[in-house]
Amino acid sequence: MPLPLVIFALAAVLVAPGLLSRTSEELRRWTVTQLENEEEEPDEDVVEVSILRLKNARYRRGRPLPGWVQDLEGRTIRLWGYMAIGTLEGLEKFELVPESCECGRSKVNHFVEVSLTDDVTRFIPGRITLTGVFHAGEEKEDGFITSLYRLSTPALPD
Amino acid sequence: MHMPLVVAALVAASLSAPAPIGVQDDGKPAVTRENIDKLVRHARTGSAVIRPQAADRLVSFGGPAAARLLELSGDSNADLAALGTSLVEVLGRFEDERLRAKLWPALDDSEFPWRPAASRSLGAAPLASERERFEAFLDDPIAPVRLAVLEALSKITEPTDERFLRQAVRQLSDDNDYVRRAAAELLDDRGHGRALLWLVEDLRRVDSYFDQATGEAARYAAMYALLDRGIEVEPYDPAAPATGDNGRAIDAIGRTVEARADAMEAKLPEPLRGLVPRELPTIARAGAQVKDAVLGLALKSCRRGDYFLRWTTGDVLVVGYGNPARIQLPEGTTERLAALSGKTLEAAGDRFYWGRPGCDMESFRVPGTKAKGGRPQMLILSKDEQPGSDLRPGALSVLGAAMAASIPAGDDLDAADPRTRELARRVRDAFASIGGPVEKAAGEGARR
Repeated sequence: MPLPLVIFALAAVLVAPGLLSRTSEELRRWTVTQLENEEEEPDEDVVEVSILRLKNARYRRGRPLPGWVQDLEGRTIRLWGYMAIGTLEGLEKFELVPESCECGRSKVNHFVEVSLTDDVTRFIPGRITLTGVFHAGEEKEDGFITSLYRLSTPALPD
Repeated sequence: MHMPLVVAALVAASLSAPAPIGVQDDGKPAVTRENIDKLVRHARTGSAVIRPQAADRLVSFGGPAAARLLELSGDSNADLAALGTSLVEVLGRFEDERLRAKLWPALDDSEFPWRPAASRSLGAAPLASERERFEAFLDDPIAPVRLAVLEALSKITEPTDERFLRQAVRQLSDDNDYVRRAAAELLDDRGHGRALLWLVEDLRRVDSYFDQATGEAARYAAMYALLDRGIEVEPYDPAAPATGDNGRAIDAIGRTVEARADAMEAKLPEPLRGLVPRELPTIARAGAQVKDAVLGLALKSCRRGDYFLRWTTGDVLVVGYGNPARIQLPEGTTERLAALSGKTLEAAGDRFYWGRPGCDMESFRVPGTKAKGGRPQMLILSKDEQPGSDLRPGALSVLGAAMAASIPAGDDLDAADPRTRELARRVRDAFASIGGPVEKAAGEGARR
């Protein structure tokens, strides 16, 4: 991010407590800050993956996953998503979904099962970005597929 | 945040490993009452990923499973609803007229919580005699219902059925992009390939609803739909902006689609040529990003439909996503609502989630300091399928009532765009369906 924008963003954060008594100008500046914070720092060792691409990957039960998904096996990836509504506190696993509500029924290719190795769940509303080790393939229990995509990550973002 | 313990217990139980299903020598599950009941249990209370699979497996059990589900579905829509969305979703696949007779009243009942599932269930094996019943839902307030009935109608009409073709062309202007894309694909199936230009346009979308990547979702959906139809999209990249090389790639896909459409249309009977408009309607065009939104309200109601509203620094109410409708509001409206949202945040304290986990949801986005990176703070109320509602805290109702009151009404507004027609009333109805009537609760909240 260019230095002037960094300074502007810092300044905007410093004035943020004043947002409870906002003026139009403060609100305008706040919207600009939001957009700037959408950018993530690139990391060459981490593969950026769209959860929407995973969701749309052509998958049929029992058939091999597309090559580009298989190529991600064991790689460190970064992806965004939402904690499924209804995620409980204190668990080591949760479903990361591309939309904030998946209506109580998940298709196996529509979520990434996230395992937290050093943390437990707390519900975070809004989009989160996670970095972790990715695994793909049908995981079954009693013939039911319980997950297709899995991500192992130490902890939830602050 | 503290979730109700009872909900925690129920969900924790449902997340436990499924009970084994007895199998025959050939490895297939035995069709026994015990196995049917186990699958019913998994389909009702299993984890979200197991429920639909258990329901699918029941369908493979055929008649004995249908008979058991008929017993369990009771005599009322409430009894049917108690089966849960996954079982309602598959009832129509048994092709049993007694189950079908239970699904139609459920779809007719605007308070039935699983209407999208009921419509898909009926649409799985639709009967030609049901054509007019399906057609009655083409304007349903819930997009998945519109989509399901359109697909059902496509199954029971001839490829040259002009009435259906005109209905599908009309849905190309639907306010929901999933319905528009489905209509385009159904028209393409019948030789009207020009409709795929709606998908090509979706490749250009860059819109979002705050952090929700609505444009990116449309790009991936459109790209895979085109690929499924054998249309080469290389070197288009859905992850990149639709400018430069990527923009030229989209232009090339558009030319391919047009040439293909011309060839297809030449084979159509003369009266059916040219049914798909040459120009995309405004609602289907890729819109610019909304960069100055300050507050947002997303209402997702399984009974009343979905609404995505934003209030901008320029006092514009933005309705929907994609290429949204815009309504100019009186000066100072957004500032007033933002000030009110500050009080809502103060009253909420550390809480940002209320209600019971479910698919009905009120999601407020307000300027705040608690969310990371200066992003809007989300305040969420969700609700399961149970009727009745006293879930919304007073402060949230005050803000919701003020947001609803800021939506103008008027004949001009109604005529301009279906998305803004009776918008204020529809938003209030959606509030009422999820967290309860917003004005009444706001009044009580203000007194507390």
